[in-house]
Amino acid sequence: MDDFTNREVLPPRSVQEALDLGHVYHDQLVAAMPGLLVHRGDTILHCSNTLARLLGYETVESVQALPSAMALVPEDDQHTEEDVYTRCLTGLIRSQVRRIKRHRADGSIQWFDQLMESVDWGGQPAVMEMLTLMRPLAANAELPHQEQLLQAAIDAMPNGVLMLDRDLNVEGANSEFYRLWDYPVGMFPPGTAVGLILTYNHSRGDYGDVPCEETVAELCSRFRVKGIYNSERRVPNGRTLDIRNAPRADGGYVITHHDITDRKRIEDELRQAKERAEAILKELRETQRQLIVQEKMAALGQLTAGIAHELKNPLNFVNNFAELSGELLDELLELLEPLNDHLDETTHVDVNELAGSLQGNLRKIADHGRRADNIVKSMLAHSRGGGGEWQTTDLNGLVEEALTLSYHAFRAQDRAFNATLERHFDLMGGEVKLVPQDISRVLVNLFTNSFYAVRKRQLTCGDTAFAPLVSVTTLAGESNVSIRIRDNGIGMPPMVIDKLFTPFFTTKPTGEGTGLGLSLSYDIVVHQHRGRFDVSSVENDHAEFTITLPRTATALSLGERRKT
Amino acid sequence: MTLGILVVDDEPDIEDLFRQRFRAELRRGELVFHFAASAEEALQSLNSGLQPEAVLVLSDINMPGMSGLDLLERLRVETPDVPVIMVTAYGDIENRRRALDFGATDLVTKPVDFVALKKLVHSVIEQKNAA
Repeated sequence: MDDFTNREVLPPRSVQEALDLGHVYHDQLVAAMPGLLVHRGDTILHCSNTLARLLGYETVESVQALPSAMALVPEDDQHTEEDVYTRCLTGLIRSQVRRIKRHRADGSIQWFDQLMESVDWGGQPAVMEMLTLMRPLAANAELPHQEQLLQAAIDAMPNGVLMLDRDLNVEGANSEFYRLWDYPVGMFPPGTAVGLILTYNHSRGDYGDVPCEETVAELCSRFRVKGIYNSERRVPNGRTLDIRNAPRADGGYVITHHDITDRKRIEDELRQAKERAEAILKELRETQRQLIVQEKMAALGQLTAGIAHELKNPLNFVNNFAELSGELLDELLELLEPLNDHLDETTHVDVNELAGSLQGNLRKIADHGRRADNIVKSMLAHSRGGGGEWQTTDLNGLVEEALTLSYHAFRAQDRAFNATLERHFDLMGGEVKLVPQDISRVLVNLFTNSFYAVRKRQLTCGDTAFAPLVSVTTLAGESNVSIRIRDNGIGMPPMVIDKLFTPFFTTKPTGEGTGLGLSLSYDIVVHQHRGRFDVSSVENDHAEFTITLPRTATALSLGERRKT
Repeated sequence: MTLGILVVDDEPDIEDLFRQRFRAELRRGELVFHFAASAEEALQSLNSGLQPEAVLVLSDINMPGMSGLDLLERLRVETPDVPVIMVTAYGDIENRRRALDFGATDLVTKPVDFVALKKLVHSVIEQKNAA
């Protein structure tokens, strides 16, 4: 209610009092009249007499002489007003009612109630401001002033604030809220249903391709959750917002939006840095482990090579003298031949028996010497670990070559042997970086073992229908390739599998195997090529060996390290 | 004609081995073996003049003191027309390459296959006689 209407009007008691009252009424009247200001850009197009007086200027001309309408705006509002004027000129704001402050001629501040509209002025849009003095009377001023204080307070907050009433209609929002969500300032005036904001979000694609009504309804229902409701959201402009919903005592809600984009980014960067560091550490540990293994292997290799070489010298004598003694014995017997007639029957038998035993023993010494020589040769091959070069190699070609080679080699020793060879080559096998010499050695080793196993089963099972089968499969992956060799031979019990890669462990009869083949193969695959060696077997059913090799091994070549 | 062969090896038993292995040739008087237990001794006896003169040197590589490869280098300079065959336990590619680079006629690995060695000795001597 207005004080003017309630005031009892008394007749003036003197001329002076009448004049004074006249001034008062005039002033009050003037104060109640709106002033008009029209401007576009830096040009003030129109200023009413009333406005000039309200602003404390003598004449309209002195207002129009100002550089622009912005000259009337106090510094702290400059930015906002410029923005609002621009929006008004570009038609984003058709009309708006606001409470604003302006400089008076004497530099003091005057509050106004403003009706701002976009008008057509000489064929072009212009900003029209109708300014009425904010009435200084307490009853009128109090409430809007508190609202202003509130608005000023929430505007000053670093967080986006949206206030909703109990029916989820907008009561107010601060500029940060508009900024964070990329809404045009003043887009959602008080009274707007929050559903409308959400619908707008949906229309610009915030929620992706989801049905509009259901999504909005679901989001609205979240506002109604009692107690504090926190969530994190990414908005389309790339910000991550921490949204907290605090119900108010009066049934409304205060929803604060905290921009945590930077924090998130830093957290992400930190996490990534941590993951990178951990990955590097893991790789370092792995490399260190590999290096230790390689050092050990290299040291062991050198030791083995030294021992093997030293053994060759005595072996040279053992083998040669054994053979020689055999020859000498033959010569001796030849020389003694004429004496045989002088011996009695028993002595003759004894002499022949002794000579036979002697020959047999010498043959055994020579045989075992050769066996020792083979072991020494294998040990040397083992310790060298291959001196081959890393080459980009056609996988399937290498496997085929090794298979053919081993099959022919095996058949050369055992003409009766035949086996079905099955090849399942992955045509995407392509090229792999490896040491072909060494991998070939591994493959020949495995194929030969398979042939041995199927042959053994064929000879021992007593089933004439048994068909030896050896199959090889290559599988090409993105970063690695695998070669699987499977046979239907005698297989291995778990106890044997456990010891499979132990040097000098063999299941072959003494003299047939050195027990170094798989140990060497394991070295080549795992240590040299950083690959994997998998074994599975069921006794008297099958055995399966799988080698997995990385396409590009970064390992140091063991051979190169050992060449010293 | 009797041909002299110098065998250089630090193992004393090598003497028995060669004498027995080549007993037929020795009995027939085709060959005479000289033995040296070190490279130094080999150089000394070559310089002092062996009878009959050595037409072939068989040398070990790993020996205390001067190695067989050092001896080979010296002999290439001092007696370039006497072929040298290395006899070694270290018959790896690297050693073989170095021995052949230094001018060895061939390299035989221990344990020695005397059937092959005999063939080699005969072919070397024949080549030498032809030349």
